[in-house]
Amino acid sequence: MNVKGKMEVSRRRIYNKHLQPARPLRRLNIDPEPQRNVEIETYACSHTEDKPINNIGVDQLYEIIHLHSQSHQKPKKERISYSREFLIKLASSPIAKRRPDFLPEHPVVLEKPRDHDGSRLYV
Amino acid sequence: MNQFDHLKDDDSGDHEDPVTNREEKSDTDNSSVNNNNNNGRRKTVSPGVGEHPLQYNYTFWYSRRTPSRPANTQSYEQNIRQIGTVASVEQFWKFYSHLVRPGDLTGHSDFHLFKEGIKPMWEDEANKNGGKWIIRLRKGLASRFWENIILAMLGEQFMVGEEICGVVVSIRFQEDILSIWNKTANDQVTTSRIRDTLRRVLNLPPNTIMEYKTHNDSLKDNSSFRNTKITL
Repeated sequence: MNVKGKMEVSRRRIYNKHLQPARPLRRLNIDPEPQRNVEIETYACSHTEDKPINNIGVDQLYEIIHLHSQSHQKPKKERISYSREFLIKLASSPIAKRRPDFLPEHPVVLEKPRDHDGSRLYV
Repeated sequence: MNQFDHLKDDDSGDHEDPVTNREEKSDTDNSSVNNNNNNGRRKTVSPGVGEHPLQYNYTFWYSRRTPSRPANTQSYEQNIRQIGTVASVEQFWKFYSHLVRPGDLTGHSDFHLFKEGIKPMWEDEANKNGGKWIIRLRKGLASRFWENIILAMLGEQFMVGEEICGVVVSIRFQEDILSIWNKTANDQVTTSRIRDTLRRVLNLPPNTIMEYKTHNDSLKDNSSFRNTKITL
């Protein structure tokens, strides 16, 4: 799939959005307070992803997917770090004692889990 | 080694196989590990629902030297076995709790925990410009130090970017040895930060001798722990 082409298309469509009234405005006109509409209008235009969910068109869907893929890349730059204490705390959770789905038969592989003896021996 | 077949898909690396040349040279070499990196498609291990993801996936390896065999790279590679790969803290504990403690091992054997895709071999693409810190331990300390160095690595305590490759505990006749491998041996900022973090997370006494050896030197003298550069 030509990702670059797709992005260009969606950017052009965002641009078009600013030239014509956004569809949700008609719905918003039902609102009894007309003054508020002005604020909501600009809000709706600049943040297309905040439009009501039932108005999502194909182009908007692309925008959302694009924004989503961006937001998924961001956390990777932040390191996932854990303190020793936190990791050891998780060792006593029941899931940590479960046998892995795939464990080879090997002399160093145990049939039953051994207890985490950190607190007993290693203080 | 049929019981390892399912692991081949899970555990082979992202890197181009650094041992291709070696494999071509040896036509009789059919060890399971050599075949590991031959397939391009593989299932990736990922954290389960509600589990705590790790920054990197890690693979457990175990190796034991066969006394009759010479310690060349080929026999090393045949003797090294993948145990499994983990992507979350919970998956790590599952494997860890089902493995013998290193201090209970006998003979010339090693546990390795390396980032998925990096073989615990000097020749691996990620290791070829690298080296390792070595800490020699008297008997009886290996299990505790092994656990602490693993937890520091999994918890991203070293703060050296992508530099850490993996850790090894080596059970030997009169001593046990802990090693931590990094990618760039001549990156002094990185190596000294690893050294200082090790002192802290392992709570080493100030007079502990720490040795650094580049994998290139290891290749030259075919030894892991001889002729090291010593710092106090």
